[in-house]
Amino acid sequence: MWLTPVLLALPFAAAVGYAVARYGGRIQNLIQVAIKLVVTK
Amino acid sequence: MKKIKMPSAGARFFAAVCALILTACLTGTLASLLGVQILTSRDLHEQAALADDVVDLQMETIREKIGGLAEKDHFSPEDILPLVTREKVEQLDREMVGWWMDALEKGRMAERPEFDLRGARDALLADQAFLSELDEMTISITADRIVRDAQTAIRGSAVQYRDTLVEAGLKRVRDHISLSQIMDALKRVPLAGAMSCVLAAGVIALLMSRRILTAGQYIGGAFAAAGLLCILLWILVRSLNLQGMIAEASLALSLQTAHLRGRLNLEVFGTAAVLLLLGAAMMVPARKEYAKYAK
Repeated sequence: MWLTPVLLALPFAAAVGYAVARYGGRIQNLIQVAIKLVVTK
Repeated sequence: MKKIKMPSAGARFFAAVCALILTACLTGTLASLLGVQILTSRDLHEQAALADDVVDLQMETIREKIGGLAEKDHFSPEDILPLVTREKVEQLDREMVGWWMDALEKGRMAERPEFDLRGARDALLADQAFLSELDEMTISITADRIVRDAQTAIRGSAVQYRDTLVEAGLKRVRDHISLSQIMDALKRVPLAGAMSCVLAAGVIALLMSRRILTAGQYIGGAFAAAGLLCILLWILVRSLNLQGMIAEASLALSLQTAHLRGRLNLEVFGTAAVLLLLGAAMMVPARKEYAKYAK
């Protein structure tokens, strides 16, 4: 019974994990560029 | 013990599908609530901007910048620094937060706040060291320029982002779409999410018919799963190391981000804990009902 939440969360966690593995680097680069563009020294 | 019939395999399958939908809706609702709070809560941003260590760093930066100006233009920093009090700097911080929140929320582009340096010009014109370096023709122009440069330096310490760029970007967006309409629509997202949650939970209750405690197994499971997902997503956001990336460009802004994150930490983990507890509270009674099912 206590496994129900884990089983329900698993597909979403897997999807997020996949998205992070696939696009995480690109998202981080985009954020870095945006910060460099907008933030001043 | 009175035995009751177990829900059919089909009912359990559809209840599981609805529980997955409920998990997604709950997580989405909470994420959108957090997003709306970040975009609309003045209090949140004021607290981050007015934190003691942030203002300390700001005051230090201002002293350094005015010192640099004084060295370049041969005046005493004491002509300007006594006018830059902590209270006035905090007031400017408040006004800047209000300025960009207004720009975002109402799409209204008000005049950018300026730091009040009244008296600085007179102090410069009474500074003998400053006067001795200039001829009479340029004294007044140079004093005005110094006051303007000092104002820019002070505003730069309060706003560590290119406000002109943000302003231009917002104006550009506003030319095409109504910002206030977008913000209104964004504010309705959590409500729509909450309604979807009620709908999904209602369908689960209907599918379980009179076995309402068993419905708790699915609904509670979805609540706890949403709690787990909240923690997971928050850890992922933290692993992006936004603070470190911002620190490379601006230490003050990175400090503000840390304060913002600290306050949201409490809310995210608190909400996740409530969801986990609620989930557990709904799942426990389901065990009793399971025992009554005919084998």
